Amino acid sequence: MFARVVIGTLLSAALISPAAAYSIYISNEKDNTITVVDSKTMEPVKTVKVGQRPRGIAVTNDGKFILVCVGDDDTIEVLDAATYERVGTLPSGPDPELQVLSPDGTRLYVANEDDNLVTIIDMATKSVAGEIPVGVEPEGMGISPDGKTLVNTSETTNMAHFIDTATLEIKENVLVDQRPRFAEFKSDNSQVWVSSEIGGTVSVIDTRTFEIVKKIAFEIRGLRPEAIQPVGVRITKDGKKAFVALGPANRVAVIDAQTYEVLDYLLVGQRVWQLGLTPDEKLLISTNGVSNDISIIDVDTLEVLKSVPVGQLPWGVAVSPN
Amino acid sequence: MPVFTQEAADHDVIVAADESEVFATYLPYRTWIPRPVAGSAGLVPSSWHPSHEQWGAKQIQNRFVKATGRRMNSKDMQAWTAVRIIGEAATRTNSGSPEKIAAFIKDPGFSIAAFKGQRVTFRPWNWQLRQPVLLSDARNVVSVSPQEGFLHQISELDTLGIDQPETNCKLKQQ
Repeated sequence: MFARVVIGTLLSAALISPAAAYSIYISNEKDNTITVVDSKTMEPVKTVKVGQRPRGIAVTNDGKFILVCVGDDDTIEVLDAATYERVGTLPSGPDPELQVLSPDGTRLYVANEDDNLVTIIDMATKSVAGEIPVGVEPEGMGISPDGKTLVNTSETTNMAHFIDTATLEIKENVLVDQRPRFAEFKSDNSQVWVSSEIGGTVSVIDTRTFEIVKKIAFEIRGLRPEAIQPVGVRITKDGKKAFVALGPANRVAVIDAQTYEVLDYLLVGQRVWQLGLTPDEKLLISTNGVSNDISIIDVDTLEVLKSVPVGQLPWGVAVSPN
Repeated sequence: MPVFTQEAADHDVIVAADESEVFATYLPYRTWIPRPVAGSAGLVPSSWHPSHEQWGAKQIQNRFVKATGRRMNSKDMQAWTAVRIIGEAATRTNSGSPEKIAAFIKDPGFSIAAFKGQRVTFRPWNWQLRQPVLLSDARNVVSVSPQEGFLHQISELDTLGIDQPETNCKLKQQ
């Protein structure tokens, strides 16, 4: 009975809480650590030692494991999300940079930056299920919500490669602006947005015709155009708002994802690269590589709520599902 | 060298302009008063350096070592950039026609990525490639110019080298 009372209390506490408490995981490329930040208190709660050059970071759908690409160790480390112990590694192939899980969680797709490959890992057997040769310096990895299409961007070939996840073959290559870094699908599967760091644009690609329907450009008063270098992209599930991290412009662009109009530029830390949304989409987190912090942004009010110091050269961000 | 530099007026740094490397390499650690040397010795500007890793450069350095068995120097990078410019124009125009490729390269909007942290472009008045310059000692890149704070109305990269208003030279139009 005592247990029931406790559970009852916990449940009501959860119901009245204004925002859920998620764990935000930040990979710090330079000091080989992961910083865990509590989304509710917005304070760092733990620093975890990992392998060398951690960049791409993801959480399994059940929230139990954190997957970290440790490029200089040529592997992906699997950390227990409860204890932060390293419980295994995944055979990523050389120099894994960025990874994406299939929506059903059965496969992990990894970009091998130095080998011009995308490696597919079967999560049940933890073995390599295939390799796909792509362009030079593969990086961005976006998976369609139905899991049928993977988009990989290759930084030096300047292409978005559309890969059929059933046949593991490239079905289309779309030439975008220089140095494509990131691919993000809309939740309705209609478009994929690809950022070009040196080109300074985001290409909106129609997933049926593979045509670029819009190239979004950015202009910030008082900033030279070369400093505007789009990297991370996130689009809300309702397909209305998109966020683009603009690198050394130190800003996150807010875009109306239906009209493509840039609504605002939010000032964050220095050299902002990757972005992550909390599962309830109330908060957006940016990693600011040069200022060694993250910025936490309120998605509704578009207010930058707080900067939280993390490790050296924060690169990737992942958020626990609950 | 100590005696040679003994009579110099008070200074913070010695900048040597000695492209043929006749005397500059004898300057560091041999000056009368302890001052850093830059230019043709000490802190040397260059278009590439084997230790340059930033902005994805680590990837091209790895590829180059794998392909050639040695590290990449400035001449290698210049050759890569030249071929890259033609390749970029060929893929963007989807053409092998020299006229189309040349026209694309000469377009004011032309730029390429060259592992230097920002797009590199052409100066239309003399067709020099505008690009950041690495400042390195023998082993490491120390800094990349233009240095912060040097401003220009067209491109901050134009703060490097001789700019259009500073010269009477005119490129022969073809």
